[in-house]
Amino acid sequence: MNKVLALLPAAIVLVASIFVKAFAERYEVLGAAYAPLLNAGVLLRAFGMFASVVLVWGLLRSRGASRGVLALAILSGPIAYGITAAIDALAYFPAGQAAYYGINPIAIATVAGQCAAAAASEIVWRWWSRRRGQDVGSPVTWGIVAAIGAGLMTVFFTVLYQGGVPFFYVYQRGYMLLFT
Amino acid sequence: MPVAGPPSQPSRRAFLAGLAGAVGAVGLTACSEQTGGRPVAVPVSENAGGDHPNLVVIVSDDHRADHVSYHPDHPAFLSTPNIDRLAQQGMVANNAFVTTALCSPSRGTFLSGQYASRHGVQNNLTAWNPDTETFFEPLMAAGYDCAFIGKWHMPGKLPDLRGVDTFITFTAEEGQGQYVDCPLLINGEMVDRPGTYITEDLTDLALEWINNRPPGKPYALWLAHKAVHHRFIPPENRRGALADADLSNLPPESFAFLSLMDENIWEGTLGNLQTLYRRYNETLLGLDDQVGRILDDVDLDDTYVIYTSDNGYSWGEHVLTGKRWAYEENTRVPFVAAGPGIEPGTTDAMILNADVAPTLLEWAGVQGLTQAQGTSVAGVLAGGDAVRDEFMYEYFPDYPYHVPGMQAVRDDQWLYVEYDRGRDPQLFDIVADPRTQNDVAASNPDVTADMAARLQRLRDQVAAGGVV
Repeated sequence: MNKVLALLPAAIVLVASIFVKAFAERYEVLGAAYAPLLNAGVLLRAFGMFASVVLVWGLLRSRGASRGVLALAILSGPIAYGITAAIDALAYFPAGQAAYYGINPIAIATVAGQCAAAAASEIVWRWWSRRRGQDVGSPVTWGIVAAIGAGLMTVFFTVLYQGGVPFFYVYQRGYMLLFT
Repeated sequence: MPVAGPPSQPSRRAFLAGLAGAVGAVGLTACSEQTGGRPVAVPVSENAGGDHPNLVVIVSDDHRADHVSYHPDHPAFLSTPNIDRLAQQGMVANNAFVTTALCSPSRGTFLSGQYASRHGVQNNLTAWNPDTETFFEPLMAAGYDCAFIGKWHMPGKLPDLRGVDTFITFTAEEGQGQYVDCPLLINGEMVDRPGTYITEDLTDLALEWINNRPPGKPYALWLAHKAVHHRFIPPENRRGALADADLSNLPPESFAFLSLMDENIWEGTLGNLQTLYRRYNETLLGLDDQVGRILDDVDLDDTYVIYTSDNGYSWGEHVLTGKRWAYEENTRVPFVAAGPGIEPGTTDAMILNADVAPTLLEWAGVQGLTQAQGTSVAGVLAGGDAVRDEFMYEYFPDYPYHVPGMQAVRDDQWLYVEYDRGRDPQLFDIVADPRTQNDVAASNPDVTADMAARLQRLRDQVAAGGVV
């Protein structure tokens, strides 16, 4: 059951991706619901990629999930994105380049985002557990704070700072080194 | 700020330019033989605008063709009175296109008159070949003062651009530049520009250069703006100007966060579509203001002025933001030309970015640029007949953008596109379906076959270096 829970972020990414792909441009089918549904779809997908671990972290911790399962919960959304993105990229680029697409700046940011989200969820879970009388340690530790800070900073520098342009060029240079 | 001065060291080019000018001054024509493999310009005494009219080309970035207020389908909220002023005084080309709808390849085509597959800047990653001849060379050899001011943005080392006295550009953000405080490379020297807004700053420099020209000596100015490329930052006096604009002109397939789709995510347009679109148009208002300053300063009796863009831009059409595709929103560009002998009017003749360089040379009465594949449209802009009834479009994959390589042929009714990586070709009836929503290849096999044959013919022609 824990493994299934840990795969929920991946499921969100996959379902939202399929929905968006299926209905983008189908405004005549969806009518007035087109824009709201498509917006919801892409935002849900982004949530699945960047922060959906918050949905399952507390449950997994309460259920005594192993470190491996917790890591799966953090990584399943990003991995789902990376794999689907690489498969999509096959329509445009050869296999090696498509695989490189799977580790693009957004993929890196999703891992960082999920780490930060997991750390924030850990604070909430510890606080909630302590209120229930459980000894789970201090809700706020340097390690947790560092994880949140490092995660958010990575997200910031990979996709937000100057619209993600500087890091994009770093990624492109990697492409040039590898493939040209 | 040293803008108008000559390069720090007298060069062979400068010597040749001076020599050519001297030759022109005594009314002789230079010889047409080739020196070192390069054509030598031949000043021609007769042309529409007098012996040597001035030439000014203003090239914006990502400015789509219907976003000028002279266009019948322009957004109701958009007013570009200065570009309109040029349109009222000159010829508006209703069917102006680029042969590759992407910054670097299109710029290479403007300068060289060649297709991207020939000049070699096929995408934003392939380098400019410094041996490529541009229209500046024959102009300088004929005695013109020449300046390149603005966006270069072609991969590779910045060239020692032959044929220009003044070369001002920027290297920030891989050559994309930045709207505010953008450092400029002015004749080889990097100069910080604190407190500046780039469109205004480049215009200041262009005006300073124009106004420092020696009397009686013709000049050619290439002014390439960053605007209105992303990140769509308008000048302060235009920020919020369109906050209340009715954006119902955005296409029905668009939605606010389509920028989060993989197809769009690298376009630098993360965020709400409406917000970005407002900023795009506010940036465009700022650009129009600066175009007006140039127009105020030049005399159309002895100066040809072209306003155009490197490519169009999708704002939600086909659920896309950006350019690159063979769709109308991407390939069409605004194009207005005014100057001696050009009567106000409009033309439906097809004009390409590849035509600009040969046209400038014809206006100048200068021969050269033997590798150009475009055709002078000086006659078209003076009210003459079209020079073509079809053109080839090409796009080369540009990692990591989700756009397939493609080649297309477009005439007055049909757009036929062939894609790489096994995608089926598409055929669009542009007359019946101007938004290219319906692929009608399957239901029009004869047209499809004919267009495929025409594309192959054009492809061969372009590959052979032929004029198209």
